[in-house]
Amino acid sequence: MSITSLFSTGLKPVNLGLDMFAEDLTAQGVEPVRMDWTPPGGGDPETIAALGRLERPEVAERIEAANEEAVGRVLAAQPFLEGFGRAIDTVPGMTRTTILHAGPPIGWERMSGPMKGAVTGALVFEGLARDLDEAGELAGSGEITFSPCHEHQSVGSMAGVTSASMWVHKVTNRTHGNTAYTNLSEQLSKILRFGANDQSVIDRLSWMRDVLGPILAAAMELNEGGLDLRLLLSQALHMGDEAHNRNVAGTTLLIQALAPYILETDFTTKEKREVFDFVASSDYFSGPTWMVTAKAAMDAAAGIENSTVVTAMCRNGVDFGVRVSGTGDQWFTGPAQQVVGPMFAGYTEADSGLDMGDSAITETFGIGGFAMAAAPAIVALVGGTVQDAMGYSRTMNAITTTNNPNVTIPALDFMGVPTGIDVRKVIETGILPLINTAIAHKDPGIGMIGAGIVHPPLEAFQQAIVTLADTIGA
Amino acid sequence: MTRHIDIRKNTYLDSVSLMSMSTKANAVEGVTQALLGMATPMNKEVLANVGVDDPAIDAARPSDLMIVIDAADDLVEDAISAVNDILARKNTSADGAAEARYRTLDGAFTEVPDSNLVLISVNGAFAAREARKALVAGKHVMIFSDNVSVEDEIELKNLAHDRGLLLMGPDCGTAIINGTGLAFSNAVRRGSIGIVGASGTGSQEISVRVHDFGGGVSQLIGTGGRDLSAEVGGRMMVDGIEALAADPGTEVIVVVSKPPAEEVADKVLGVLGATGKPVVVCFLGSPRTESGYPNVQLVPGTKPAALAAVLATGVDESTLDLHALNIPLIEEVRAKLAPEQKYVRGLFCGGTLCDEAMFAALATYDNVYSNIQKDPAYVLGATDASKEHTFLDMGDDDFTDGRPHPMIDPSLRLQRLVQEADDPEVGVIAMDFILGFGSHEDPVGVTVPAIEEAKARAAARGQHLEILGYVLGTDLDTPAIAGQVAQLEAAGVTIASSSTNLGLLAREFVAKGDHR
Amino acid sequence: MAATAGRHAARLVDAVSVDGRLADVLPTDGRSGTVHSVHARVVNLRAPDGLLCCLSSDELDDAPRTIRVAAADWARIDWHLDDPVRFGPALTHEYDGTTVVLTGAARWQPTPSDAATLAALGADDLRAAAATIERQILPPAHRTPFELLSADELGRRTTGLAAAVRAGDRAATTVAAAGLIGLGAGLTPSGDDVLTGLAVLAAADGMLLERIRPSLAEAVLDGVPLEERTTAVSAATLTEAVAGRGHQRIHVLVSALAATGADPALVDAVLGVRAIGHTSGADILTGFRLGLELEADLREAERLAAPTHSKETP
Repeated sequence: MSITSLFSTGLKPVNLGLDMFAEDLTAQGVEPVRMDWTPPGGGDPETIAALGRLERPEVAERIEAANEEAVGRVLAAQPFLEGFGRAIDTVPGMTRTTILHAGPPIGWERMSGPMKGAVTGALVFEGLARDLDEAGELAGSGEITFSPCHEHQSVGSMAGVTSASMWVHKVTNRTHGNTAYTNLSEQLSKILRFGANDQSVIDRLSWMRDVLGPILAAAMELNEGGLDLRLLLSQALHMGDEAHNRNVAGTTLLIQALAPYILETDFTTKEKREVFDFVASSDYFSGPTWMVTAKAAMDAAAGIENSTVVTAMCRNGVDFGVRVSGTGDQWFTGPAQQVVGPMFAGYTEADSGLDMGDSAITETFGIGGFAMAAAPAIVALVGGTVQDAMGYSRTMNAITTTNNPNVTIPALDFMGVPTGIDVRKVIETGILPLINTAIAHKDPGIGMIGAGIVHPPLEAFQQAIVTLADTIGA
Repeated sequence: MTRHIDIRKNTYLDSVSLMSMSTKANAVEGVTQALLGMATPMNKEVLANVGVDDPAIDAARPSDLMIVIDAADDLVEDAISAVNDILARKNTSADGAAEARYRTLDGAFTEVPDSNLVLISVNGAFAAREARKALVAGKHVMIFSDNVSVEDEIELKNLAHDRGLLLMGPDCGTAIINGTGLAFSNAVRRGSIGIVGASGTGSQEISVRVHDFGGGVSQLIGTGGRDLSAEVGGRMMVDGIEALAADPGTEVIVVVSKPPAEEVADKVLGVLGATGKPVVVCFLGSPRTESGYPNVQLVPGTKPAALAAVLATGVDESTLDLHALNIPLIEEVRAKLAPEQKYVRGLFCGGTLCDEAMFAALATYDNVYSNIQKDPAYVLGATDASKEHTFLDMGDDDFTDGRPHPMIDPSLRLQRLVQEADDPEVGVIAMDFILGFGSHEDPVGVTVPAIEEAKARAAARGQHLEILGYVLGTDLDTPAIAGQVAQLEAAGVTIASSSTNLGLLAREFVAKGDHR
Repeated sequence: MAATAGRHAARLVDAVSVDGRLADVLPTDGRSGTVHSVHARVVNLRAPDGLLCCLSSDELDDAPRTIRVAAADWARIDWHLDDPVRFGPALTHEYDGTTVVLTGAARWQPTPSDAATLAALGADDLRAAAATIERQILPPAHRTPFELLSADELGRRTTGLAAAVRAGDRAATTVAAAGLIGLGAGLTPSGDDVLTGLAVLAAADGMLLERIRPSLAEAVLDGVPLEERTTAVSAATLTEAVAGRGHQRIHVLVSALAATGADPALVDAVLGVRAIGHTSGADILTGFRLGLELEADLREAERLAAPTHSKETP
């Protein structure tokens, strides 16, 4: 609009800054558009400069094209559950003495209490140590290889500790051909992934190794077509799940799909009954399944030159790690945060460990906290109101690239879940991704003590934007 | 022109949705044409007939939706993203658009596509970036914020110029667009006088004087104080003048500024000469008296500028109250002052008002000190004590550093007022009071106790302290000028009728010889 | 048990009416089809054998290939794109179990026209009806840029079709009709709607236009598969139209022709057709009006030619 044509048009101002100017405009009968603006990048000059470099039209053009490619891949991904296998037989790079863990890389010394508990429990479970003390020594001896799940096409809930003889999901994205893995839910709250490691935990892991895993694997061998997980996930959201902290519907759908094949396996009725009872013991059974679904989709978007789309968010209980498509395998980290939310009776915030687990892959994909509006039933669990939940999902649109038409939220007029977190938008708006998550006790051996909401540290995104500016905007 | 072609697989839109999307897509800024249709062979043929063909279209099937967007090169990205947002039916707005607040300008532009001007008053460190976004999105911009680098200013103004947009500022305090005051501005009649000002309070003063003389303002464009420097080269001033020249609602153009860099002054006068409209120029403190162009009249002050402009619209001078200097009043005040009360102290909120008063004093005296003096020998800092004749622009950066402008927060000026009253050589304290949008809601009321205190201190040592006030405002402002003047008069303050008269009266009150 | 029964009952939705011919051909062997597309009051389904059919609220009229459910039940059809639907004795959504029961639904067939009355209409009567329709086809309030482009083409091709019919050139009629298919932006392109209006009128008993039906059928059914030439929904509509089956309102309009001129019954029927879809109704009327004019021409020609075949001729 030229200046002269402005003079012959109604003035429609946007007020960015002092509210008193907006009020003066209102008083003159001109209703301004009001902003809820915060300085980009937390006001950090280096971050703003980096953002500015990425906003230059020729650079932005390349980024837009790359991001479109990245989210296009996420939307097109068709993760199918192909089967189950033991980690040693299936997960790339797995060895007898490898322990995979959640989050970005971390050594034994820096690990949080719950993760150490899980590691020592796993070493005893694998027969590599006789007891927890010996396991602790072994863990610090240098003989054990610690490696992030994410660096093995895998994800792991909470501590994410995955060892050689644990069974894992095998999920292949049939559109792009990549495969992702994750281990099985242990169901109850006193479990390895929360750092619990007493005999009951080890016994359950042994049963999972000897009965649950083999039955699930045999069942999926009978199901030659595989299970379309995106379809099940989409249905679960329509039934009130957000697929991170609420998995009631998803678990029902999953076991419904598996049940006929489980029945057809050659195992005893008693063993099958144990499997059904185990699944029924916790709604969380399908939680890892949706994580690996998300992982299979997000891996398809990794490594696209010039893309600023986040492909992984994860935490090891000490550091929060972010990976971005355009920077490949590089980790951007900041301190893991305290999860804020209601605690189980008898625990206080002082008891809670810091944010942990690879489960934020669900938010990276667009479900979990991003799909809170689909799951009004759990707003109480994480604290907040139904209105808040609606707001959370809408707000995430501001930092994402697109909406996923295949996974929609009925209450928001079937809005697709916000997909493809854009580092630039996070920095520009100051809105951090919202993650729904569980709270583990800070000490090993106790387990889950609450659930709530957490955000990544801004630092991780600041590092990411600076690196992106150096690589893309150079 | 760039053509963007998008094929949506298996997308079925009924014609109502198609119509609605097509309408919205064609309304997006920068879009010259958006074509949406199902990819049937016949429809492909229709497109091919108008020269739209593409392998993607060839490959599309009748179940696919074809989207063809033609947009200006520089806006194609925005246009595509806007269209995509429409197609994605993003559910971003909260309930009730009136209450919606947006985190980013892009978000605001998408939701309110007919917005056309952005008023930016965030910290200067962030202002340039936001201004750039607004310009790229095709919006006019006013930057109230200061502390924007001159490099950014030049870049932004070039960008605005290339796109035919306003970039008012940085550090632009006032504007009136289509009768709506932005930031600091006064409620004045609409009329046929267009103002382009590099100085905020100077522009405000002229608009108020025009109103007072019965005239009205078509548009008031601010350029920001640095626009007429050699570096910036009057980029906004030139575009503003040309816009007013083309504006059928503007009959007379007024330009107000501190003296520009010489070459910039020549350039601006050249542009003004070419407008063919009557032009009045007030380069406050400039020695120039001749513009070199028959339609361009140079005047020495804000009041003469307003008067000349109103007369140029065809008003008969004899019908106006010209508020000539009140000679008996000058005599009366002189009689009250003791012989040692030789000096004027001016405490100003408005930079141009300070300038105008200072230049009036400089016409008579040499010993004029100020924080805005050009001559380094006469420069005072914010913490320096006043000396002889002192005129302080308390809205200048030295004083405001980290503090609100005195038009909003008068506390610093109140302290200074009482401080000046303790100097027995001071005869007159001159002050401005600025009304209008953005300003303090009762600038006089908040100052009266300090005025009384100042007068009392002088009286305690047996002196009369003359306090001379000028209220910049109109009968339409809130508060209206009449009530503010009445409060001052009740406090024993002498009222000047204009900024120009304020300077002249202050100078004459302490003149010991004949008044001039 | 009561609760179970209630929950079960809540998933059953009784269809109000069903296209009788569709009911005869719908697969019932329990294979799954999918939801093809979803609109406000319409869900289109792709049956396992590829047949496209339509589930609609009974706020909309009966139409070919359509199953209607009561408006009050419509909210229970929470079906989404690509959802599987089982085609058994009833239609069952595979995920939520919503089942549309067809037994008991009224079986709709297009109202047959009164051949004697139609045949008795004179050319002037037909032209008067065409003029009434013409007056009711409002120019669209707003056209998209694409529609503006395609409208030109549509106008030329419709004129071409009329010329071919008048010339009695069967091959040219086929080519011209085929040229309309798929022309226009929307879900049922305007060209298809024009053909639909013409085809349904031509199929009415008592019309001389009967003779162009083979050409129209060839244009629609032969050659490149129809779904390669137009949208799936439109392909279904056209296929039915050349079989003489259209939206109930078009049949009502055919019947209303007996009331000629500006008779309120005719005007009501015209307005009824005009209300179909967003722009479809007007396009159908355009085809219908064209048909009436062609019919008038044919009858006139027939009348002029008649003496040579008359028994009175020696």
